[in-house]
Amino acid sequence: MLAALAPAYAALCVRTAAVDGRDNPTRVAADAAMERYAAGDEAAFSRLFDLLAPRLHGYFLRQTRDSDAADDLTQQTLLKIHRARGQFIRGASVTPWAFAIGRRLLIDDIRRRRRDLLAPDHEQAVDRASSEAATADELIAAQETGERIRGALRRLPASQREAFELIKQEGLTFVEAAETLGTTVAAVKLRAHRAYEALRGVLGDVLESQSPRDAHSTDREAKP
Amino acid sequence: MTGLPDLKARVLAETRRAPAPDRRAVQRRLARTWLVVAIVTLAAFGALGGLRAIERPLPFVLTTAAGWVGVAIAATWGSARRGSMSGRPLSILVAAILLTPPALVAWYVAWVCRVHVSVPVAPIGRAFVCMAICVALATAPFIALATTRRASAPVHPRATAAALGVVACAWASVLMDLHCEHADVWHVCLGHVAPVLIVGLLGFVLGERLFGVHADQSGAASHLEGRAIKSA
Repeated sequence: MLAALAPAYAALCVRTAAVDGRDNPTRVAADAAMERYAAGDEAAFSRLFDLLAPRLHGYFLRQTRDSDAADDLTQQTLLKIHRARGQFIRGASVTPWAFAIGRRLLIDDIRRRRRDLLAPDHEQAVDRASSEAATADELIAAQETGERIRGALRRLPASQREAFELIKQEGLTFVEAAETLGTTVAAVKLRAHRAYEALRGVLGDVLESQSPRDAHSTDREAKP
Repeated sequence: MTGLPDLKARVLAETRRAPAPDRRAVQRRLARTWLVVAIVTLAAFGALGGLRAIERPLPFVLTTAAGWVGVAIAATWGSARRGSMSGRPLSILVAAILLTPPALVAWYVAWVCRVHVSVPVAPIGRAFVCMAICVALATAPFIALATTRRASAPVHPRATAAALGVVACAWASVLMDLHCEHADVWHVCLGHVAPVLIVGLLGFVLGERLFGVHADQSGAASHLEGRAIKSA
């Protein structure tokens, strides 16, 4: 009886690990590095930086369109993790915690500086950097599409936009996004699904022509 | 933009300049803090007169206190981190904050009705004395809880601090319930349960100050400087 249940249990464990991101080698490595750092291994912070900083920097760059701000916010997030190393709980995941700190630093920075988040020159710089190989027509089309997506995202409620961005742009799992936003997994799934539905309403033609398979999979995953 | 290698060098230099204690050191410090808090709180409880069960039957006192311990444990569970550095979801924190006081009252009323203890009405002034004592007994545990969680930057600072205030005062209410001779329900509501809300509210007010994550002014200034250089 128990032997018959073992494969089902193993499958459940694999599925659970996939849902909360524990099967992702980068996340596992980041958690292991943080665990070593919390336990007193000073050298582990360098490894942790290598694993977290590029993702955090990309997140901040997408949010601020300002590479200097992204640098500073990445630095501050990692230093806050460094200062709290002794309080890191055994078995906790460092990635959603890092994003949670980063998100709050970002909000605070925006409030404090009242920065123009989407200054055109910075947007163009980012677009240029990400599509060096594209032809002029493709570049214009990509910029127009990018602008439409950004416009549609701006019109979404903040809670839906954040859930969508963390899952689709930053690659966080539903569990990690829930931890980052301090809510339940069900709430994150619902927000991401609503955001996707709203975006599909506005950008249906773009989404269908660009990545129909991705769209279907997101739709399936996001259902609560 | 400085590039990630430069950024890494800067961050690593900063970690070497201002090293942070590792888990073992933090745990040692927290253990000392909690030991002091336990001694101070229990000493204060003892100085007040400790357990008093002259007017009220001892089984009644112990039963109501046991129920309140259960409620305090549930509140502690609701506000604990439970394997997540970011803290509990908002819904659970709010539930811990809002359900704890009614649960304390409900348990107490249930036992008063069941045991039929003779309950002379307590003077109103005595309820305010109990309220002040209860808040005072909750102060040290609240500070210790806030210290324990401070660096971890919980996602909901105000709700987390309010939940920790509720937890600290729920445990203080247990001590108050063991000590206070007045079994009048209104006295218990005002003197022993209302402080839970008061300390929770205090936590809510202080939450951003205790657990807020703020962008470093110097860092923000440096990227503004960078932008200025760029635009020039």
